[in-house]
Amino acid sequence: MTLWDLSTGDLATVSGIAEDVADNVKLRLVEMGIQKGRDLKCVRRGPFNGPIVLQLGGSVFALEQDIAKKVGIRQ
Amino acid sequence: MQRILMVGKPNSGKSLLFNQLTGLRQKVANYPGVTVEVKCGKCEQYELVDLPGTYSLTGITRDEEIAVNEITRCITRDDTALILCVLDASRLERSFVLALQVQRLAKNHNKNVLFAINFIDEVRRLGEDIDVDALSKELGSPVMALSARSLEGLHEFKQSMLKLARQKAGHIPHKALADNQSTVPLSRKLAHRYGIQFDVVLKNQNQFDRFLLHSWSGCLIFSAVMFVLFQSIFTLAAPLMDGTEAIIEKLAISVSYVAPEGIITDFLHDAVFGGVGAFLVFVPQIMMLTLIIGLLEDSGYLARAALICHRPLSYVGLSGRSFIPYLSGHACAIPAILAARTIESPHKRLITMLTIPLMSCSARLPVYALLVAVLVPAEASFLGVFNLQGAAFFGLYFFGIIIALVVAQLLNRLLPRDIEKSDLPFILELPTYRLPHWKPLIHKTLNSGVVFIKRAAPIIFLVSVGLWTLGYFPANTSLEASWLGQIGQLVEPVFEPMGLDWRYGLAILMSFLAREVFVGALGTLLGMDEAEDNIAGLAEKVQTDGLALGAGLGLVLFYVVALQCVATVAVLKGETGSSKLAWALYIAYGVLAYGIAVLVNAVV
Repeated sequence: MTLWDLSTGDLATVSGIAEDVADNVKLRLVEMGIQKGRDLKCVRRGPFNGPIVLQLGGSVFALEQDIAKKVGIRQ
Repeated sequence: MQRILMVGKPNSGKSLLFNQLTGLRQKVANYPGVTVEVKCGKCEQYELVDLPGTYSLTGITRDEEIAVNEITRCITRDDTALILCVLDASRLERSFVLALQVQRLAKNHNKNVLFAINFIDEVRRLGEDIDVDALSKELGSPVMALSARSLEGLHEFKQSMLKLARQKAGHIPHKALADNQSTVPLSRKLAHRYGIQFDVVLKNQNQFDRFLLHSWSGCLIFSAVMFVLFQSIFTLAAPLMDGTEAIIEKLAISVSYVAPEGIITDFLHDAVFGGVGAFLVFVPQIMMLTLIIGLLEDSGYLARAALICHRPLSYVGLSGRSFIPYLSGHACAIPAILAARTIESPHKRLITMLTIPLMSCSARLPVYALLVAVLVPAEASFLGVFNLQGAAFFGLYFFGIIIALVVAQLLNRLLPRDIEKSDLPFILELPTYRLPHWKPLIHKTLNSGVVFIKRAAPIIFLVSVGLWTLGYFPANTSLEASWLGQIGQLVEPVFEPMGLDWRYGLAILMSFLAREVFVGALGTLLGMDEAEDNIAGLAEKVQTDGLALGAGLGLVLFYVVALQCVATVAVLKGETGSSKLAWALYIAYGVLAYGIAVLVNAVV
């Protein structure tokens, strides 16, 4: 499962970031708190495949489809 | 003078704290090379430097890269007495990621560090607090809590900050993470131990977002905000613009009383007041748009607007982050092109920069105002509600945006993608909703006016002087016989397919340096003084002179599309690093505009 499979209100735990994500993007995701074992919540799903809104570590972020599909999760 | 550097993540209230500490005297320093907005102000005997915000010392967007370079460069300077790192009390974990990186950098360079936890009022309002003493001990650097907005703790903070700055090397961090160690786990631990329950902090924000990001109500509110924004550029700025115009007119008249008749007075009157004065009229409008965009930005709404626009804009190869540069492009393309630095992907950033000039900037307004007055009767209304002239204005703005999206789509297909540089994804933090504070807003607004004048005035002055000289000499001849008239007849065949004669042709040619020249130039060429001061009078003159509907419509659409601004080309050259690309764009939009005008003239 990836972040992109979540629906509004879902809780999940990050299981990892895909290998093919560039190093600088991976680093940024980690700095945002998207790291193995981290709990997060899907705050909103936008219409027409718009960016997904997540809450973790006291911050709220929007991620677009391409990158949300690269983050693996467990529910 | 010894300096205190301010570093922090975006939305940490750094600008407001800077304003509270420095008062009204401050200046925006532009460093050579890339334009970086670094604000400097005085706080007692120290110079306070507000460095651009970034989330991390490993920047991913162009603006972050620039910010990181600035931070590293400034920290190593000998005259840096203290590094003030600003944290957001409601976003502790994210703030610590950067703060710990900065602390490590400061330790490596033997600099004092002070952590300021801003917006503590938001935490205390919930009946909680942050134990700054324990935090200081754990971090090995002094930590203070304050709110730059409610002013609590600000006075004590200022005194301590100055004391720390005086103690040379007294507060160099004695511990910091090792160079290769990530700051993330420690940030998480610290935020968990000292921060408050984040569900409580985010409750309000999420409730607002439920409305503002909702599929239906979100779009509705977005449209309403945009409508109010564009309305207010016209309605709120109009009295200010009239005022500016009146002052310039008074000045021009009083100068002609004092100065003796003759060439000098003619020069002052026509070239200086007519040319340079005319463009000062747009300054209120630029400031108004900057103010409203600033309000939206500081309240936190702009990030939501970017999020809403991301999906629609990505259909044409742009990003949600292209929205903000597009919006500010309606005031002036130059700051808008600089604002495109926040766009994560280089490909999307380039497309955004190349299409920004199609946004109807305020320099186009006088041209629109004149031609709409000529073509659309003032009393006409649609369904008795909408003023037809107003609707025509909106139509022109809309036409520019549509052309921009079409061009963006084309560029997205045509421009080679740099496979080496991976395309960065759209990642956006949604900041806390906050009531904007007037202080940083006022500074931003005034500064936008000053910067615009400084940048545009020299070019406009040169064009006015050149135009005036060519039209004035040989002395005591009619306009047709002047050098200007001779050039005009030479170029007339080019403008014939647009349905325009040599006078319009000349005015258009002149406006290739700066489009706002058009109205003044046409006024002079149609033999009317004070053209800019009286667009209605000039409109009548153009009507009696006879301007066909097709030619007029073609002409106004020409002005929507053409990139007639040398200053924009210069900034594009700097930001894209390619002078060829910038000039190619200048020519391409000129040709496209010409094509549209010829087509419209033939069809209508």
